[in-house]
Amino acid sequence: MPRFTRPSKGKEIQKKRVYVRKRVCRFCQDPNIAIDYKDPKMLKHFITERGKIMPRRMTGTCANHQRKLKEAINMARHIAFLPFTTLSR
Amino acid sequence: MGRYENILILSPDCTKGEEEDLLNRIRANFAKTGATIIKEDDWSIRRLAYPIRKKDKGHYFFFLLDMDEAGLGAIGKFYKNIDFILRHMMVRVDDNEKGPDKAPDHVLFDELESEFS
Repeated sequence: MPRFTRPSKGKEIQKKRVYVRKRVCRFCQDPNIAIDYKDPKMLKHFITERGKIMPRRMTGTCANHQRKLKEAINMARHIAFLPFTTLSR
Repeated sequence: MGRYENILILSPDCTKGEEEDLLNRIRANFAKTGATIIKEDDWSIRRLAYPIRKKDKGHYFFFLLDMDEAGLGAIGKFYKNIDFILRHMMVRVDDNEKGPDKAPDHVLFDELESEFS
C-alpha cells in the first residue's frame, strides 16, 4: 500500500503568476512591412543593444518570418549596415 | 536570366577621377559578361557599422542587374582584383524587383558614435 505523504507546511509551492502578453507576428499582421536587408532602420528593432538577433520569444515573430529576418540581418551585417557586435557599456 | 542586386563599398579615399574611371571599368565589365544594368544608385559616403580594412567610412554603390548565372564568377573575380573595393555583395532577387527608391537611412548604434560622425 503506497504511503500517502502530505507536503510539509514549510514548502508552500508558490505559484508564480506569470502574465504572458499574447504576441502576434508583426509581419503576418501587416503585410506591407517588407523584410529587406537594405533597410537597417527597420532591422534595428530586431537586434539587441549588443547587436545580437532578438529571439522569437521576445519579439513574437513567427518561425517563417524569423528565418527571413535572420537572413536579412546577416546580409546587412556583411555590407556593414548593421554591426556584428557593439561596444555598449 | 535572373535579377541580381549588387552592392559595392568603395574606399573613401579614392579621388573623384579614380572613382569615375573605376565605375566605367565596372560598367564595361558588366557589358562584357552580358549583364544589363536596370538601375544604378550612388548611396554616397556612409559610416560603416564596423571598420573594414581599417576604414570607418565607405562609398556605397548599388546596381540592379539582369544577367545570367554564369557571369557571377567572372564579376566576383573582377572585384577581387581591385584594391579600392572594400566589399561587394550579389543577391538574387525576384524578377519583378524594382530596387529601392532612395538610399537607406543612416542608423546610429553607439551613443559615442554621434560625437564622431
